[in-house]
Amino acid sequence: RASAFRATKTIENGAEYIKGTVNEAVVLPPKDKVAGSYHWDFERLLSLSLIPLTIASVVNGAHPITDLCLGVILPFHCHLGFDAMITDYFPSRRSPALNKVLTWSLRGATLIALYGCYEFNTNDVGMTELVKK
Amino acid sequence: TVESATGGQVTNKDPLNKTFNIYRWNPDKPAEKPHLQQYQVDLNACGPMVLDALIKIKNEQDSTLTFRRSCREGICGSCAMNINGINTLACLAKIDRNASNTKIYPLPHMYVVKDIVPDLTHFYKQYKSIEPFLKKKTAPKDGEREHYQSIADRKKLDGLYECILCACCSTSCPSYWWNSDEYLGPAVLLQAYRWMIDSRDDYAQERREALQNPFSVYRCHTIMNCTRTCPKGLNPGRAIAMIKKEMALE
Repeated sequence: RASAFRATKTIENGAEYIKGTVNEAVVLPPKDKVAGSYHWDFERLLSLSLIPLTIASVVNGAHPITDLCLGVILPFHCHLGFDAMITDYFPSRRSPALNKVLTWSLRGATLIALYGCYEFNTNDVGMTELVKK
Repeated sequence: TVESATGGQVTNKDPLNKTFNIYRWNPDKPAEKPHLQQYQVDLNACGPMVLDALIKIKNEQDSTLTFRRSCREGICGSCAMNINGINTLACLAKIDRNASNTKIYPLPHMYVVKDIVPDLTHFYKQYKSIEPFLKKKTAPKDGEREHYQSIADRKKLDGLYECILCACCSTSCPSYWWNSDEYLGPAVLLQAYRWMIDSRDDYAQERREALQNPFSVYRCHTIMNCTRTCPKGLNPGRAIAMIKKEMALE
């Protein structure tokens, strides 16, 4: 019997991501502390450090050191945030090509942002001044 | 009119008819698209919970309506489904007598076996992968047959052992919707934490190490739909946060 359109799948069709029989446990991905807890620690470290940094910029005004720190930490913080979104919505096991394209464009964008912040902080007024305006 | 089981005096109540919109799909006719079927139920001749209505519909109106149920008291976890947008147990969800209709859907983002029965195979496989049993490194000493645990240590398990694996929380989590093949989900992680902090278990560190990858735990972004929807009042979001904390401090 032909069925052109199925809105849902039954067990007979196979939910493709179920690997092995019903009695076998799911195989967890390979262990990698860098991709695991170290990555998460680093993410939270950057987020936390941004709080006193931003407060210092707001209170003290423009200062080369806070501008430098912001100019490095902000692009990295945003990079990690966008990277988490890419892993969520385009994981490599499901959309390998799109994941690669997006990850590398993100890395390129972060490098440009880093360079831009550096240029801005050294040759122009600086990030805090820019926000003040 | 309402009949009384004990044969006592009963006040005649006017029938209070409400509509139930129930998701239907038949795997024997897979070409037919899933659709909502409407049923009218007299709430004054029906028990207070959604499961009572479902059973009444199955008994009196449409015996092909298929759903899981067992204990009817919120302890087995069979009747987990999406009622008016919220994942709960049908046997604990009171029918809203003021609303004009009640929508009953299967648990979201799950493959459907029939009508409102989801396929929980992968969910159970994920539960098995965290090794939800006591593991000791040394055999018990001669003469000692129990694994002793202090009252304080036993208290740590409160709020964790009560989980009935109904899958309401995991199927309410958007991260689990998008990544259910690798993200373990709040229910399984709650149980992983339950075994990690059990003082009788010797493999806490190995349990944490098994989760060291970007997906098993770290797809949780503290959306907290899980805690909000748990029909038993448990807090999987907090358990996941404690796992992250313990993994960070290692």
